[in-house]
Amino acid sequence: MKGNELTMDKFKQVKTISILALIVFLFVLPGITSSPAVMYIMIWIFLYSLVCGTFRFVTMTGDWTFAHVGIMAVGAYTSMLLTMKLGWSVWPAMVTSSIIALAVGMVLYSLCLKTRAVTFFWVTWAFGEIIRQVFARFKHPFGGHIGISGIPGPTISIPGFIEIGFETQMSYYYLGLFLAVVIFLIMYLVERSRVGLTLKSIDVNWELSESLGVNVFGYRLLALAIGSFFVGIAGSFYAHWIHFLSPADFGIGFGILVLLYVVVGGHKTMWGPIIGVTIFIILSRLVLSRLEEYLMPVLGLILMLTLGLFREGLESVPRRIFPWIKATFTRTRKEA
Amino acid sequence: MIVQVLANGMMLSLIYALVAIGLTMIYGVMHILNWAHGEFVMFGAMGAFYLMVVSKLNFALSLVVATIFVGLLGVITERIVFKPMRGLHLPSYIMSIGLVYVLQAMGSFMFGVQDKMIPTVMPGVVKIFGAILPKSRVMLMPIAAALTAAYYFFLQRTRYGRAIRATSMDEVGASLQGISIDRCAAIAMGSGSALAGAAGVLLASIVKINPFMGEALIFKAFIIVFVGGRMSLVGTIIAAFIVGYTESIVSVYWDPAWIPMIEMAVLAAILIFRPGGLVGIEVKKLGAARE
Repeated sequence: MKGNELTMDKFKQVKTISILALIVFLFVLPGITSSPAVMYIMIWIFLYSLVCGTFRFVTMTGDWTFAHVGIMAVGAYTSMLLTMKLGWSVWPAMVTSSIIALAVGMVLYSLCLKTRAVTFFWVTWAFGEIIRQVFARFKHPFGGHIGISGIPGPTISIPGFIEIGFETQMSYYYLGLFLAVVIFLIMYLVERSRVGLTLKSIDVNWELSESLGVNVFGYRLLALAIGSFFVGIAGSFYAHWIHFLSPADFGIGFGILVLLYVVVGGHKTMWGPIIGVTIFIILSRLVLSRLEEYLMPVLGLILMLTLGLFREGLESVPRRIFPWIKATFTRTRKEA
Repeated sequence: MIVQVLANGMMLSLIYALVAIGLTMIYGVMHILNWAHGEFVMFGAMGAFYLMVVSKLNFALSLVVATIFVGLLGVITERIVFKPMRGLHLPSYIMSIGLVYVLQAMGSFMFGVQDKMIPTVMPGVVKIFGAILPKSRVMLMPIAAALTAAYYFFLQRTRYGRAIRATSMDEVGASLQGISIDRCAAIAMGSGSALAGAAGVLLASIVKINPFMGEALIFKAFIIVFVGGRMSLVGTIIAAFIVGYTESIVSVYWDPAWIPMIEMAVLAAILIFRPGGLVGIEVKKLGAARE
């Protein structure tokens, strides 16, 4: 038993070191290659990781929401309105828009929380679609179907000391990396705490949790609220990075993509969405640049094969393969 | 004008009902919301195009052949894609999304992406109460209604229909009575897909055909399934009429652009106040992949 604990400790050490190494690598990556194409793909990966990671956080209670992308649109559009119509600077607009996203999410989800499971999925789908239709219908503040362009980028300026304009992809890279690291760290801490365990208990058996005195409604709403707040930040980041918003960007296609990345990557741990997003975005960019018309079927086939082979997502691959490798190696050692 | 709106609504509702009934039965037996159901409609329409334009068959024969073909396709899909994933609901959802992309690509490689039309089945118009309606549209209504009625009869009166209903109520109970769940799933998937294929053939005679025509339909079908109440044939038909008539009335007397918003609002309201749909029962858990 003692040896087993030792290997567990070692495993944890290796994991921590490799995570730190990954973060350091991501910080120095622009020094190695600062080509805009690489930066662009990396920013997409950060953005999608944020959206999928927060989505995965919400699903800890078993609530597979489809309005997540709609809430992200609320964050993006609020940020757009605050900076363009009211002339706010980007940073307060980012915070305010995520608070508004949180508020909209709370109102919307407290209506939906009567339902569970599949029904919850489709109610939130309807609400997300309603949000998107509102943005598409009202031309005056939101720009209608055509969308709205010319959203200002952020600047950091302390008068007389420092002045940074976000003109290159590299600056957005660091902003995205910063947001991703901070948000994932917060989500990790919440997930490890008592609150996180309570959230998971609701997924396993909500009736039992309720009978043990857990406020199921409150905890589900809490998870959804945290998810909405963070995805609001992600939406605001998206608006100020792309400088263009249209309701079509937040359609069902995007929602399905988020769901797909999370399920293919795996939803048991917070690494699943990151793995799914990284692999699929890099893959789709590589395939897209060569043969555009085969992109969707190839992605569909890869998706089906992955799910057929690894039902719990790509994150379960090491868990499945390591014992096999270990068995093989111990056998060879014995023979030798 | 009113008669025209009513007739158009009737036609839309019947075709929606054909598509959605299959989806409801597949959901009832296999607990899978098959996103690729719209693609079966597309294959039905493409089959009609090939049988009628290339092979020069008549409409009735090509309806039968295309329906059987799509039904077989459904059974094959069930065996290859969904059977290994039985009981794993969430991965099956995502599998069926992957299937959408694959089938759409198959459709575009086999048939090409440009719009196609089949020749008018029945030329001429009829006058009903002062409304002028094309014969080819009026003709669809009895066919669609007859197919729906036949499926209802199949479910209520035949052995396999009873087995399907029993399975959708209680899987364990049904298998204790000697019903093979595998065979039931294949029959449900086959018959549901066949209905989708028939709907595709009927649609082919009134709209343009292209490999992406399933996308618009599948979301309507989902709305209908959830408004009506899953696993309920009557609820599905009622919901199909609600959606079909909403569409035809709103698009004539108001702005068609508002249709999605209204439908979503109806769906949200019904699911909040009656989570099980108009007729039907609520499913307690979205069974993710957990053993």
